[in-house]
Amino acid sequence: MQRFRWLFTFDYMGHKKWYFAISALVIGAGLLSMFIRGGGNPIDGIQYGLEFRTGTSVSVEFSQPVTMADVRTVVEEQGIRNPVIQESRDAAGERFSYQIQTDTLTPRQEAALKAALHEEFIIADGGSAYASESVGATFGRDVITASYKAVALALVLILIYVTIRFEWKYAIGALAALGHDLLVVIGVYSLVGRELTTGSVAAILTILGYSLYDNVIVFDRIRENTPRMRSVRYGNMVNRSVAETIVRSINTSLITLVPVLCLLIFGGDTLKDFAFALTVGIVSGAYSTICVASPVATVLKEREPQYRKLAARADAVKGS
Amino acid sequence: MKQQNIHVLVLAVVLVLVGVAIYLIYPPGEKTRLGLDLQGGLEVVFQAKTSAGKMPSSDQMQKAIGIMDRRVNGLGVTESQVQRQGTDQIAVALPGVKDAEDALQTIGKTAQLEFYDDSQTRIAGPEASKQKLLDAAAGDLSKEDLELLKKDEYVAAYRVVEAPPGVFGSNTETLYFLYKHEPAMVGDAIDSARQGFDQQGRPNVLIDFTGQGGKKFEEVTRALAIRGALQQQNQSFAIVLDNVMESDPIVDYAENPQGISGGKAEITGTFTLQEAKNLALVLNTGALPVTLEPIQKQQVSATLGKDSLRQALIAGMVGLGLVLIFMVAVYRFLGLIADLALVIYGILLWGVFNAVPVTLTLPGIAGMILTIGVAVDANIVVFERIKEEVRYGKSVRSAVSSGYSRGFRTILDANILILLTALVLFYFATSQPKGFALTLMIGVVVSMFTAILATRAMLGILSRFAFFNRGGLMGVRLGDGVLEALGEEEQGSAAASRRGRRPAARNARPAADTAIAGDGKGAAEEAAAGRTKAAAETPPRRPQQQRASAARRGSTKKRKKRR
Repeated sequence: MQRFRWLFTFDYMGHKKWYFAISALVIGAGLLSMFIRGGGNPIDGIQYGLEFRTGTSVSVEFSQPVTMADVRTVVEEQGIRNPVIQESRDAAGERFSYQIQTDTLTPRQEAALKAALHEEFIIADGGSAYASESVGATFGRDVITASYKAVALALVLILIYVTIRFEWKYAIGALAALGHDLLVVIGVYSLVGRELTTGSVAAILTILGYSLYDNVIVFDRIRENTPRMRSVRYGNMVNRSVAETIVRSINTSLITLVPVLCLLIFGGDTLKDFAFALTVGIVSGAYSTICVASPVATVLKEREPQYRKLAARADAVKGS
Repeated sequence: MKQQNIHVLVLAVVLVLVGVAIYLIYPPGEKTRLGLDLQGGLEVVFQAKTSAGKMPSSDQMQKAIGIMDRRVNGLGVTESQVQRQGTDQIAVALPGVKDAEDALQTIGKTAQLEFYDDSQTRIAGPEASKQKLLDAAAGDLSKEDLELLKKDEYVAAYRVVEAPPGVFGSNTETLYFLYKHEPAMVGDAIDSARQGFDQQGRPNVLIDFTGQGGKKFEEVTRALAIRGALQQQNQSFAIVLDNVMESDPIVDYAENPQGISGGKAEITGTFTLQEAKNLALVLNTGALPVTLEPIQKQQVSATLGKDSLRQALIAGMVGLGLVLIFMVAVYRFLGLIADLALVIYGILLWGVFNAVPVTLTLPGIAGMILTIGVAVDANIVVFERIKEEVRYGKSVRSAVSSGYSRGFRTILDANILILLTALVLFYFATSQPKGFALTLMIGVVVSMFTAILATRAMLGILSRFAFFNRGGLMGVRLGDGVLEALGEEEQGSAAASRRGRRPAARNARPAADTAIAGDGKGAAEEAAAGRTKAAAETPPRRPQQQRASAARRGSTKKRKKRR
């Protein structure tokens, strides 16, 4: 226990300037990356998955070694212009899989492409190792709108619920933490250049839930400690509350991370996108509870007259 | 009821539920619905538009979905799904479909409501089976067309039409007809149709035609009436929607020698009320000028689906195993209880999935793996509470009881927030994240049950036994320094001073108190100042009260504290 002693004695609220600096640094790096990659428009600085765009994406596995140039030739022979072809490797490295992205193909064009690929290279498993996805322009736009709406509505509901159950100052703290987590996750997506899919959006919304869950546990302890520790200045009472819940926070974060990391390691491509967002989000959520939500709520609360008086008295004692 | 009895009752309920769940699961793998990303198949999202390019009304969408449903059923795909998505989209999932292009054509075309003049365009039928029908028509068809029709392939010039029971005369079995594809008129002639009653009060179907349609209908019926008068026999015409005969009414030449004019018509017969309503609906849907354009399409092969399923299962198993080990390592006996609850959770969740039934998709599995975290966290919150209470000197038994009652409110708040976000996700999201949100919601609710109620009952029953009352069972050691570090005095302070730790405990408190001075002073200065300040602030009351109770509880305590 001695080794972890500092966990209980650490002055959590006293270092808030550091946290804010660290958060600003991470978020700043993400935003910068979005600006640079997006060529001035941060919205374009993220690589969006197919659902957000328009086009057809074909994943295909061949039963024999095929070079990318060969694949390109066959695809272009079908009259498909500017296909984006990627080799997708699996863990064993024994498969010859490719992902082909093109403008939206009609079912007929796509069937012709599949037939041509099969004829030329033989698709594995008797032609069945083949998957495709097509997205028209309207759909991609709908997905984006729906995602924005979902995030906005979730935030409003959260604000209302926390205000009812706690008070609005905590709700502001919680929202600050959520905003922080959102920016961190999106920024990291831009930094590492991963694709943002609808799966990631689901993950991001879940992260909001998780981060909030974490906040509520600490807020709840603060609420419980408030009447017990009236004579202690607010920040110290929050420190105490964080210290009392720190073991739980760490254990829970670890326990949630473990299965998510398993998804990241063992899951297929779809699950990997999802798990990546969750991994970043869980870490960010655990951090933001202690280092964003609680400090912001504390700053707001310490402005209340009663806590100001308390602080002044403590300062006076200190000064004497 | 006594507390103890309640615990036994809860456990009994849990056991029964586990039994039911196992019944629902067994044999595993067969009863679980897999989404098409896990078993392969085709998913298409259609955008519906009116012919004027406008957004269809809710009514129109309902009708369009009805049509799609019929077409999809016609494909004979088990577990197919037709769902409305958003305001003007229809998502169709066809698990296991091989020929995607063919399926797309069948389900994606605009509804075809056609009227056939029976005596002019019917080539063969009624026959009891398709085989017989084609045999009967063999003489009238080219060899090529016959072959194609036998293979259920599309032939532009002919239509095989089936009449479900009750549609043609009073047939009790499905009958088959072959028509030349030269419909006398098509569905866009109809403006609207509704169910009404004739003069005898029997249900009938009233049709209003469009201006053009009314004229066309008059022409068609006049021809039928004249031919009827010539042959002294009433002529009929077939109303066919997507190759299914909906009705086969006659035109009474005595009543309407000049055909049916005025842009209105009435179909009477031996309808039940429901039949009349259905026919009106069909006539309306056939008239629906809604176009469906595929805007998203996803096709997954069975092999890739199987791979994904395997990967997700491996990830889930490894994750679950690690969590189980972690809990025992950290919380010892309590961890074991939590693990048991987690296993029960897994079984119940699976059972609920099969019972609803929820279609399991890849994101759904991810949601399930995530809820492991939620389920276990409820236990962690409570256990940390229990440890805390034990540190403050409570007996394990009462610590368990207050740990649960205090922890519960926290967990409830936190879980409600997760439910809220999942609900928002469910409402807005497209199909894939939707599955994730659904699993998350079910998981959160089930986990509240297993992680709180079930573990509470187990611990409640166990706490009657003497062995239970030892802190070591739950990985808490008295005098582990946590309270000290928090600046509280250990209960039984004699022990603490023997170890010479008291000065440290004194220091710990001020260190915490220096926080949030916010006036820009150096940390060292504050720490120094804090030491004096500690005296000015009253420490919380709780430990002091507990100290008294600890003193009562005698010497076994002290021995443990020394470790």
